[in-house]
Amino acid sequence: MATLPNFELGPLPLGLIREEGRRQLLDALDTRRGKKVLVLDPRISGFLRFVAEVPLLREHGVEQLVLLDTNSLAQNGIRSVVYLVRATIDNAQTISKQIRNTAREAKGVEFGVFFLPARSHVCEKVFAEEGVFGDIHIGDYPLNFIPFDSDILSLELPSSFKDVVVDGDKTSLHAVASALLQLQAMYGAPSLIRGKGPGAAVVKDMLVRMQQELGSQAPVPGEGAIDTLLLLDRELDPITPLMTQLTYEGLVDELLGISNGTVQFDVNGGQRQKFALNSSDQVFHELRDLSFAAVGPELGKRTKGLRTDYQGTKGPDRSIAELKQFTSQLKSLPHITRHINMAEAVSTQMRRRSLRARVHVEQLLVDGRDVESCCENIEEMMCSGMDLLTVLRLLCLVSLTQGGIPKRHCDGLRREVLHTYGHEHVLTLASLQAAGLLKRQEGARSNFAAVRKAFRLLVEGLDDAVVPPLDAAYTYSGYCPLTARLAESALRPQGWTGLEDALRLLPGPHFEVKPTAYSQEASPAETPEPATPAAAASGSLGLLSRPGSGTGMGGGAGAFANLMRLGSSFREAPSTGATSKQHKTVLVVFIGGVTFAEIAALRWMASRPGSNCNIVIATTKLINGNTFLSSFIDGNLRQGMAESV
Amino acid sequence: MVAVNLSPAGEWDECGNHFYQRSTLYEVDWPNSSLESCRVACAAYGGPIAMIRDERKMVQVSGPQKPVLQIYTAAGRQLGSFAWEQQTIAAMAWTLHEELMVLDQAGEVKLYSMHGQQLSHQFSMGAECAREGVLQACLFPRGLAVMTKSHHLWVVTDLAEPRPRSLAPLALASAPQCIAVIEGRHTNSGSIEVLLGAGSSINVVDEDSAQEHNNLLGSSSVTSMAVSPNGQFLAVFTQDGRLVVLLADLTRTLSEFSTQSDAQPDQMGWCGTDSVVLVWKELMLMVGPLGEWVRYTVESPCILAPECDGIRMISQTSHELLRRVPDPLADVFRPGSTAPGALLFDARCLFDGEEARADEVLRSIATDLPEAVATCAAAAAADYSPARQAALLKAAVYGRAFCNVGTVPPDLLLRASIRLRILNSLRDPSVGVPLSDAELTALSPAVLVDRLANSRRHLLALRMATALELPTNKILSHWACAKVDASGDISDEELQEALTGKLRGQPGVQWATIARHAQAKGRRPLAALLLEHESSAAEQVPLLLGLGEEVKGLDKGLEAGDADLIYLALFQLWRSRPLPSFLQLLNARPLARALFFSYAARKEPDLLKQIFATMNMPDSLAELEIRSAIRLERGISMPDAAASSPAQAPGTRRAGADTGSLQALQCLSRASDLFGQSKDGAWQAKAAAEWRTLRQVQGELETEKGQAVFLGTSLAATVRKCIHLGDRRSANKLRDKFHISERRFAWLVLNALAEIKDWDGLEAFSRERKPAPVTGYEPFIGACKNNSAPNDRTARFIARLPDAKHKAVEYAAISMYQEAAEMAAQSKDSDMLSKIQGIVGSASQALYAEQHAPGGRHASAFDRDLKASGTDFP
Repeated sequence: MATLPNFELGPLPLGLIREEGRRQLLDALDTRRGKKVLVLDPRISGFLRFVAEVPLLREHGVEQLVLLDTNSLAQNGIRSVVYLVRATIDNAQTISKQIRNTAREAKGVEFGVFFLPARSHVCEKVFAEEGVFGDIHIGDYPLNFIPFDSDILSLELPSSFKDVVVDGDKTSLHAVASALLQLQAMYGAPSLIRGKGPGAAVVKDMLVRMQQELGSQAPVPGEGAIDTLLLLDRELDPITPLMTQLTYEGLVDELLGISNGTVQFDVNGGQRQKFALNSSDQVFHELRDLSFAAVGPELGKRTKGLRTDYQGTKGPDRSIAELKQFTSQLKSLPHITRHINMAEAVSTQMRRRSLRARVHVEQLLVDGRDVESCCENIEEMMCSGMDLLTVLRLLCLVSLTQGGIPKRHCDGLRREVLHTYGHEHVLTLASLQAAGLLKRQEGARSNFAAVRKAFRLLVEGLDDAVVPPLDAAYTYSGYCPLTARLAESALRPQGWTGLEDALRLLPGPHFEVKPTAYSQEASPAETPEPATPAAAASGSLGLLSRPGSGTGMGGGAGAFANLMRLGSSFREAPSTGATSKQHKTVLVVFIGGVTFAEIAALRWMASRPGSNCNIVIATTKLINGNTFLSSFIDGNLRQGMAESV
Repeated sequence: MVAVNLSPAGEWDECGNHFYQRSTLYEVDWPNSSLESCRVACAAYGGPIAMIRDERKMVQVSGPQKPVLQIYTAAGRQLGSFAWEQQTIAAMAWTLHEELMVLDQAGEVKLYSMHGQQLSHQFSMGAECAREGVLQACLFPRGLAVMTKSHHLWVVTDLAEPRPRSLAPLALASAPQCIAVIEGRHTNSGSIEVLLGAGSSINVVDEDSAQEHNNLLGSSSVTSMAVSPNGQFLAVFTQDGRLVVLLADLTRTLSEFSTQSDAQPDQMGWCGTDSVVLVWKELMLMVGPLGEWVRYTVESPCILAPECDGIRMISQTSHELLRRVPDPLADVFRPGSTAPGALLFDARCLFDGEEARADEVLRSIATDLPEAVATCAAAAAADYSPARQAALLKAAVYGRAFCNVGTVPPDLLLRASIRLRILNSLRDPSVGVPLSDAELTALSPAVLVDRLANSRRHLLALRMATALELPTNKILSHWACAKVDASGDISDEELQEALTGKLRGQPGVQWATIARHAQAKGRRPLAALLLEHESSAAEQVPLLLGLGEEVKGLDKGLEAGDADLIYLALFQLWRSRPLPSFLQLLNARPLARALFFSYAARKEPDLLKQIFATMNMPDSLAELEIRSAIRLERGISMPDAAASSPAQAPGTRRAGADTGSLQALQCLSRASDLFGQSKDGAWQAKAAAEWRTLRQVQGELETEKGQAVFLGTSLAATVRKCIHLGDRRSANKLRDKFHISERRFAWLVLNALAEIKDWDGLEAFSRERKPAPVTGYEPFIGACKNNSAPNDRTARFIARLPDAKHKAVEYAAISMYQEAAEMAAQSKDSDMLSKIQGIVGSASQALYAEQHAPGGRHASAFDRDLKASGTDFP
């Protein structure tokens, strides 16, 4: 199970992040003496395997691993408890309760709380109010981006999009900017920042500001391994995640669910399988981004290839070397079998969940045809017991493509949702409405038709099963994600020049910044927006600051300097081969989440003949339509749903 | 010959295979102190020396009655002094940050700067120490260990967070004679160990246990102990005059040396990590690792100050160093040495003496020349005499000229010279830090620079930092703080001018640090002026709050978008302002408002309600009511009370449900009203009202059926449940009450019937409406398939489909191929027909393939492997 991606294969050696994360985790553990219980935030435990493995934690005194709750830990007979949690109010409250419950039953237990990525005043306040502040050692665990694969980084902030668009809570944007700053310390700063969307603009401003605060410590733009930073906001394109992903990896995620890089499913016959899905699995590496339609034939080719090789080796005159080569190929056989099983499980689910009907409705909607029948179809799906999230996806899709749900259907559909899934979802509908994802059609039509035309989102007559594909639209069977088109044009030599009219159809400003090295007084050259007000005086992160005065920068300047040192060894090395200089490395940041199919589209772009870039993807969360929308469902309701599914 | 004149070998003493060198660092004179009657603490790495009259010793006191604590540099210059007016001192030592740590008899620990100012972070070793008093104490740079008079040990291992921790209790027969500490970073367990010599045994105490080792030293009792600077070895002196060196974990005796002395030494200390120094009155004995020894005469009294590569001896008139001669230096100057370094040095001397033999000597080491250059450079760095340093560097330069390109690092000599300049200027009596090259490496240049700044030698620190390419911002900030301290009578504006005049244009000046300092010194206006220059919000905000500029702090936080800073400012504003004015602030700042609401929703739900009411936000208020209703419904208690009430078991729901149910209904009524007040909340108001009605009906149904199965489910589920219970009448009532469309209702009924596998009922229902069900027959077929109905049941509905083509597909789907083929034929659908044939044909093949699949076995073996490795995160 513990198969990790090969982090050194990608355009950036992301293993560096893993190493640093692992070192800091162990350092944090080592600050607490003796044997300890490690209490994990459930939202952290899943991805922690990308950083460190359990046996290693045992070597550092971790006797037990438990998930965070309020139950007393006294019966474990342990003197030291270490928490590894996100800095949220809820976590601080739960921890306070657990500490009180534990301390009631056992004396002399020590508590250490490490917040990811940094402690916060609000948590300290909760601790103080709950009367446990004095009993806790508080520390930071500055892990921001988690490397999910050789070219994917995620912050694992599932509700980022909802927080920003519904609650106006921009915490996650600050987290993105801090994480990018940390990344720059390790891999160097880009010489060009391009982006579009309201959230992207906020992140850019924060990043530029933070860089200025660093002063002379900031890495010099353009001297590192990252050439371009492309910031894309989910708000530009909320439609794509609502569509069903039709690549292999995307469909596996839609139907079987990929969680923290692993998938679990029942093989025909009832046996449950769980395995890691990443680039270290050669078969998956080659198939993941293909259209699902092409996966069957590709798997068939591989098994046939093996058979002919086998027949080839059967003769008596085969050399040992040939046999050896054949057996080494046999090693991929379990992988192929696994993928055959998985593809089969996907097909079963496709039938069971009438995926065809769903995709048909989606295609009609993005095409702008036959809205009436789509609405009826959705109603019928509710009747036949389709799950809430799927129905919401389609409803939002109607609303976004039509500029609202047609008046005639709106009240009926909303009522039907409440009747079928419970009236408590009045909150969910209100929240989707606040996000602008689901509303009643009022006057103004959506500009989706114009966007569709301007960015050529629909590609007629595209055969998905052709390998290699002919257009990024293969990922959604003829519909191309807007983000892919934006990235495609952003990576052309002329950039977005000439596209201004089309870009204006989308929310938020677009910008292009060429950051300058520190000490050049001039503020960054920027178009078309005015320069960010650069503080005239230089500043730094407070090297002399008292220990414990949280800087909110994920570990403060000391940590930053460390990262710079760490990164410099990599930067000074005659960087990754000769190809990297011909190829630009582009970091594409999806603020608010990205789907596997979108990633596939970007990878396809980078792998096209004539492409001169390598792409690394960073995001707040790897999403699909269901996980995207589930953040709009109230926490208490979500719990109930998880049980019923 | 010049070499002979320069050679220090004459001053060396041979001891075993090594040479030891004793040299005078400074001639000193402790102006106000007589060492005889003093307690002395010397900081490591050539740091300051503190002295105070020892109240345990009987001396004739002249002058003030209270003892005065004097602090000097290693060269004997006074740094500061103050009268000690507290409890009797139990021990004192210098910390890692060159602060003087003083422990008194009551277990109070106070810290002083090297200039004699008391620092704010003092602490106590706990109530027990205060009550019982200190018996023994061992202070070390990172913390201290204290034994109370009741033989209980307390330790502090991190002075930044001084929390006294108690060690395991131990039973001692007699009071311990001596105490030593091995710090956590040197022990196997990673936690601190305290060693106690009591009688003939050594007790090792850590937090979990106390172990007694009593067979290590024979019957003689332990009188003193010393741990080597690297924490690896322990030197023990016994009553019968033996010096025993052990591994620090007491697993092995390394050497034993009998001094045949009845008298106990006054002091014992490690010289570097390989020899131990013992002092009796005027006699000093150094014992090497193999029992070899050298005897010296010293002036009495003589205070020992161990270093990582030697030991310093401080007496009334001199400050001396005893160290093992570093290898490069020994290589060059050992009498008769033929090491390449020595020959290169000779060659250079000959060259200077214009002797032709220089060339000959040089040729003899041609191949080893790079090594010789490196040795000379290293020897220069290791030497204390500037004349010899110069000679050695000259030799290195001479040799380098004959080396091939690339064999000697290009900046080797440059770096050696920079280091020497630094070391020499540190050793100058005006500075008085007698650091050796090895100590500088161990200390790290960055720490040295910090220490210099701390000792107010800012210019020197700045120059060193520049030479070593270290950041200078800390030094500048420290200077500015010191400047603020020293400028009590200068006006704020002038001082600000003076500071900015010096610091403007310097990279990374920490204005916030300076401002914080100014604030601490009570100069708030100055702090505000200085803070204007700070660009980091994380630094600015806390300080602005401290200065009472809360709104400005909030806005700075918002500007940076840092939630943490915003919260910090918000909490302070919330505390300090009346609610209306606080709300007004929030109103103008959406991000701050969002964050505060998110906090209040979790911690102050009632306050949030009040706020929503005041701010006229009926929508938000209504949503709160809905959330309360959900919690009541699901038995989820408010977050605050979650711990006390475990999730209710389904059977027990009834009891609490009645009041909860009533409350939930009230919540929904209020929500409905509130939504009604909002601009476009009409549909939500309707939904909330409808929900309320539904709950009432569900409640009635539960009473009627005596089953708690309805509350909390959706309308659709309620209808289905009624059908499951065979109650069509109630289902029909629900339909009418909630205006469920006929079509929708039909779907619900047919699915519910299929779920309980009431095939007859399903059949009957399909015939209820003439001529055909409102939904058509497809939903019936679907419901049958989903609930695995017998094929003949499903087939009955398929047969009633109007279209033959459609029938063919459905028959094929339930594997009734013959019927499917017939229907396909009937509709002349040749595609379908061939498809069916294909399926029938391949089915038998597939069966065969499955039995003989090559991959099957591999896959299961792999599965086993997976399951075996149960080492995953929960």
